[in-house]
Amino acid sequence: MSGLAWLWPAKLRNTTSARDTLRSLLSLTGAVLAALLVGSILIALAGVSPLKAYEALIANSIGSRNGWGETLVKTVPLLLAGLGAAFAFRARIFNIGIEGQLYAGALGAAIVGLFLGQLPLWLGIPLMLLSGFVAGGLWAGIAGVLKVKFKANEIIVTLMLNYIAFELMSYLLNGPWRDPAGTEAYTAHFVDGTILPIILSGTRLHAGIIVALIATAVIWWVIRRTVLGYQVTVTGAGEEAARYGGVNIKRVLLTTLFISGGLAGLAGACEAAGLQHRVLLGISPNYGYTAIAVAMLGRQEPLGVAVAAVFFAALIVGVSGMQDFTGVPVSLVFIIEGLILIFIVGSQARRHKRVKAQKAVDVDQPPLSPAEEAQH
Amino acid sequence: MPPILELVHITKRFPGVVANNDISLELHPGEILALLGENGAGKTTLMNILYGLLRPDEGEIRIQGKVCKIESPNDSLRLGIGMVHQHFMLVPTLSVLENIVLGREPRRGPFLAGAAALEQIMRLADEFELPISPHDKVWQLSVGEQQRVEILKMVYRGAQILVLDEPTTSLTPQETNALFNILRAMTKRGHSVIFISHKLDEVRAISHRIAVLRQGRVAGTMLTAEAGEQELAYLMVGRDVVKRVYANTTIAPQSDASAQPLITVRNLSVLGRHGGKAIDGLNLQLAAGEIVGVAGVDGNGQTELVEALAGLRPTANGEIIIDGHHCDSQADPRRQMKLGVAYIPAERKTRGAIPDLTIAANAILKNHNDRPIAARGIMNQRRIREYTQQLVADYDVRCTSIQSPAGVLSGGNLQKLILAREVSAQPKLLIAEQPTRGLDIGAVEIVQQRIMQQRDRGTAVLYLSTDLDEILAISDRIIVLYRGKIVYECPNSQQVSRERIGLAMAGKAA
Repeated sequence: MSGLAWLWPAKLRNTTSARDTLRSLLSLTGAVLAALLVGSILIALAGVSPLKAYEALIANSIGSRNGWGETLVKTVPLLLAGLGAAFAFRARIFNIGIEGQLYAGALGAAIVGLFLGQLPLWLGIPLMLLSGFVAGGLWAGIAGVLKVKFKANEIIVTLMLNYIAFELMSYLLNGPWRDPAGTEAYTAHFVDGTILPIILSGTRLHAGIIVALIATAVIWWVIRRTVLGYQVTVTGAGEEAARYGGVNIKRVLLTTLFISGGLAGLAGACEAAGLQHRVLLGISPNYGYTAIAVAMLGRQEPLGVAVAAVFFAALIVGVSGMQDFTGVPVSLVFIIEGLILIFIVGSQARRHKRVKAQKAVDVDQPPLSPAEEAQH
Repeated sequence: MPPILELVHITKRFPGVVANNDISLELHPGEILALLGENGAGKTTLMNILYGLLRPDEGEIRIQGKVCKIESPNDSLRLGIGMVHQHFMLVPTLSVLENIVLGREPRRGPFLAGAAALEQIMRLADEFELPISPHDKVWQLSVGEQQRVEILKMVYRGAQILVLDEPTTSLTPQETNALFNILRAMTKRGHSVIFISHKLDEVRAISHRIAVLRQGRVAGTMLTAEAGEQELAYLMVGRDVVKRVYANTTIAPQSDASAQPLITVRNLSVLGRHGGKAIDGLNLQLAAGEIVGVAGVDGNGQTELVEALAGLRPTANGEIIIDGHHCDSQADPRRQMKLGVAYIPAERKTRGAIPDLTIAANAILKNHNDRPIAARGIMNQRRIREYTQQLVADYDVRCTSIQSPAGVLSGGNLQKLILAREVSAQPKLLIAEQPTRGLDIGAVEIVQQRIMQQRDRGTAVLYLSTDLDEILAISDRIIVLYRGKIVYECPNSQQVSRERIGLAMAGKAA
């Protein structure tokens, strides 16, 4: 990983040497394994053989072409939303409102998908994505403006905005945007020119995965090669030093939240235009919250987030298959997700203790990672 | 009398370095033992072992002859060791009384027995000649007063051994004297003191015995009465250092009194953190090529003055004119940078640099958005590398790689990096805020020489330090800041009276 490595924060990268990289990978893997282990106890308590259950899990998620297709279908929103969370976390902004920004993005996509008439694909899809991005970005931007103007805590504001977004969506889908021919709260079918095409025949896998991969590359590039990425990293690692260095903190906060929300908005847009072809109330089974776990497991690194997104997607797909075969409820997913988070935070705390002991010649405390700070 | 505390063959290793190497020391009741040593000599490690933050790899600690295991700060306090840290461990929003009893509140049933506690504390305060106002909030107190609270807290908790880490760093000469009187009063009542410092004069003034640490070893132990300054300095640095570093600093007044001022500050007022004017109607002129030393006790407006000049804090009133350009009252660090203001902050690790980021990322902190480092929002990696390597080479920043985190640099090397970055833009005004704080003698010398070089090439330098010796050594002109005003000003010469300046620092302008 050369490139702009000398710009790269050793802390966020978590490596100063190959040994550290390995250690970091091991601790993440350890967290995942520990979570799966505790999960297996719960499965056993439910009266099912954990081995059988996990076998079913793997067979369903990555054991077949269709399983892979479904895993990648779930990867799309998790990766986009996870990138959004990770980008904000890098600047030490705790954007917990990914879920709401995802709704906003879906609604933004719907404006193009429903009201602009027929569009050619080359125009319809970019326009739909742009609209989703901007809608998600503006929704997160509300929290940004409140933070910059009134120092409102973004954790609370973004979280509360989730509920507002949901009610807004609920109003639109039950009221003005409701499909007149429909039986439930959803919009009409998007126009053809805004539908993301299927790219793996025989599965539901749509072009959203390409959008997500491009977004991963772009965010990687922004973080490592641009002034904005530098400023985001510097602000996250040392806000006071950033201000001293002439970084316009307010502008960085606003831009960061806009991009973070925009990525979440893209997740919503892709779900709407790629999978459902409309907006419905259940468009996101808490992807926005899982995204936080994805960002943490991926260490706020675009490439890491991609791996973590596939992992969580496989877990979600696998566990729903597991329910069909073994009767273990799907909510196991959320338990394992929570356990992984707890173990990651735990392993980071242990790490810091070790680093602190080594640095005791110089008693300065290492700054907290977002995970630990969120704990406080 | 048997020693109250014995350290026997203490060794502590860290990866790649032996921080404490076979250290044996003893402390007797009623004794003040000074631990003298440069930064990195192992003082802090030894202290952390006593405090229970670190455990020695070898050796043992005996208290009153009994071998003790100190596993945590609680153990340490239980064994009668009271630590007064350089940064006080007080809760600013609580009162003095509340801070002292915190963690060991006297109770009557479920209630705080306030009156009883107050009585007990006032008795202790009286006994140890520690004047305090128990109901004041800690944030209202001066540094010296906070330190007294910290000491009293330790005595209240039953500490028999008091360990003070660089306790005089931000005290006035008068406050330092007051501290010394307190320490003497304590030893008369049988308490023992370990006084950690790197200031020869103070150690000689207060201690009974001196242990010099160098490179993790005890380089020598001697009675203070028999210790010569030269001998101590030699033990400390292992080479013959005559008098302080400042001895080789010649005062060469570069400034021409008639010269047009480069920087003019007129009737400046700046609000402090708690509202109120921290800088109150201040007037100041700096000419090109002079070092103006700002003496004063911490908290008399230094921070606010510096921050206003650096554009980090809005001004409430008055004017700052830099080379003919009037700055507006808004805080805008970038504007000040463009006007040629460079700033070496006292807080190296939170403001001056970001320890978690690489050396290169820190090197470009100021010019990351300027050509040739960046163009149209995209950073040029090759230029970043070249620029950083240049700074590191020019200023002899010792590092294995410019990709290492800045946090692994020693204090001196980090300061050299910051200094290199700040002067690379050829500033008109260089603000050096406590630039040598916590550095070892070698690094102090380099930093001061570099700053004088800047002066010689025509930069106006504002040099802030709470160490009067340092101000006297480096300044062409001295101003004393007290409660946001300049209360005393004089050109630096042999005739400058230390007492006069000391009095001004304490607000006693005659």
